Amino acid sequence: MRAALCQIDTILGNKDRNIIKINHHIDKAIFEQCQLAVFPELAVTGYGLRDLVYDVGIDSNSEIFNQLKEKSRKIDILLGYVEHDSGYFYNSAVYISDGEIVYNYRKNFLPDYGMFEEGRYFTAGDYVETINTKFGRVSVLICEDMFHISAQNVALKNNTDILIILSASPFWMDSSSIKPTLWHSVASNFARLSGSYVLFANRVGFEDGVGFFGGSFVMNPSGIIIKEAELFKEELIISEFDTNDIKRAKWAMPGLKNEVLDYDYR
Amino acid sequence: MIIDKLKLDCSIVSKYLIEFVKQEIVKTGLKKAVLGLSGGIDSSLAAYIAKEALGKENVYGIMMPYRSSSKDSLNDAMKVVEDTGINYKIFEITKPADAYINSFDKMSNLRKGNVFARLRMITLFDHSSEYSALVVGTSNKTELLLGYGTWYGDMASCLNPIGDLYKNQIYQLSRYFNLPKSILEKKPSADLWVGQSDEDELGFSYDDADVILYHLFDLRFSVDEVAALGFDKELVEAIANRVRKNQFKRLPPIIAKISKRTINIDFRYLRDWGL
Repeated sequence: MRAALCQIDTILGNKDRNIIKINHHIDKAIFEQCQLAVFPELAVTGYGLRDLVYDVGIDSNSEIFNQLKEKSRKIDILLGYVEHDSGYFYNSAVYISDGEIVYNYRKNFLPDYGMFEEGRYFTAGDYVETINTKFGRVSVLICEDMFHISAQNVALKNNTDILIILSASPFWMDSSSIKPTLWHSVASNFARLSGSYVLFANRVGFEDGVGFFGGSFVMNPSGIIIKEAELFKEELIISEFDTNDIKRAKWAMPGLKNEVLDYDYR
Repeated sequence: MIIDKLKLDCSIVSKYLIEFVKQEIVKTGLKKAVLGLSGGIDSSLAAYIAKEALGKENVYGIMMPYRSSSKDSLNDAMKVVEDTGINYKIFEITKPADAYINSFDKMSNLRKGNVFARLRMITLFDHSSEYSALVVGTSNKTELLLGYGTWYGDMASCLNPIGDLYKNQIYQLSRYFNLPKSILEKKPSADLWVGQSDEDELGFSYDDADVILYHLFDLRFSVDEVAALGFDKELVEAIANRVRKNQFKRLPPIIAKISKRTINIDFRYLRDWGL
């Protein structure tokens, strides 16, 4: 499988110009013969929307996706946007394939602590689904979801082959930790325990001083990063990997086989 | 050493701050920066970052001495200009400052210091218009938290790359950027009057302030917990009070709410709206 992670910056609240950039990256990914192009969380709108949420929310059937649907006959596309449904707003992602939106995912865990305000504006989705794609069983999580074991647990139970994380993860560091390393550690934990590939598509750019760090990566089922983007700069990275690694990893450590799926400690 | 908790990965942080200055300016449609160069470590470091971000031809360092300002300060600022190759201008504020100050019978050092800082602010923002540039701020986290600066004076800027770095971290990054030795080694001073020293005036050392502030606010330690690290409880309390009393300096003016959408209360947009 050949996948493109499109580590872009966005213009805050300007869907039209962001979609132009997204289309440009898809064209490049098609030209490079990729089968999947992944964009970050809220790639259509930017992240720090605050009251702009009400202006940029769109229906999942919006004509904004028409051009992408056309292109999806050549390449599968996954990207984040603000979904508006009957007065409520969701931090969502669409998976587009063969001319159609085959999956719409609503972020389950909306951070509302520290610098985050998602809980103020968005309504949370209430389930994680795993979909069958040309490349295997794909689970999609959006940023904060990955820091919740319960969301990872659903992806594990569903026997995920490829976990894709869309992110707008801000940079911070102190003397004992640094944000990119935190992501490596959380992702490698899941990759190893589930025997799956993990694709992490993070954005770059600054919004009022908050810098999204990028560092998008493809990680194999051994928890090793096989392709990684630069920090702080726009980049399209392409990674080609053997999906047979997934079954081999699961043979080597069949975690799910002995899992107690409704395990509940009392 | 407890101060080691403030250790930075200078390689990553410098890249990050260079991108911050570059991207936050370029997205506004501009490409230049203007900043006040005092010869002190904060504004010197900001100049090195701005030069890396925008190129030396797009950065303007303005030196704005008063009659009583130390000559060493100006010399050190010139070393920064020579080393970075940025554009520079010396605008002495003595005349406009004296014109203002002399229209009063007497004026305290504090008032004078504020007049100097605000005249420098006027000069920087005026030149930002002249050069189509943004004003890069040079206040560090220690002084912002302590409120050790002039509201709408040296605290005013368009964007500030070093405002989340404690003084100790400013030194780490300045050593990383190889700033001139005389700047790294001299005692910090606002140089608002002859012989002024930050640490004498504040009554505590920057390292102590950094460690206390870091534990109080970054790590959310209580006053007692910070005192238990080996600090005088009265000092910790005094610093915590200083931070609280100066909160107003870190915010725009408050607005009386009348409507259902009041600016900055429930009319909420980032400054980078549409950028």
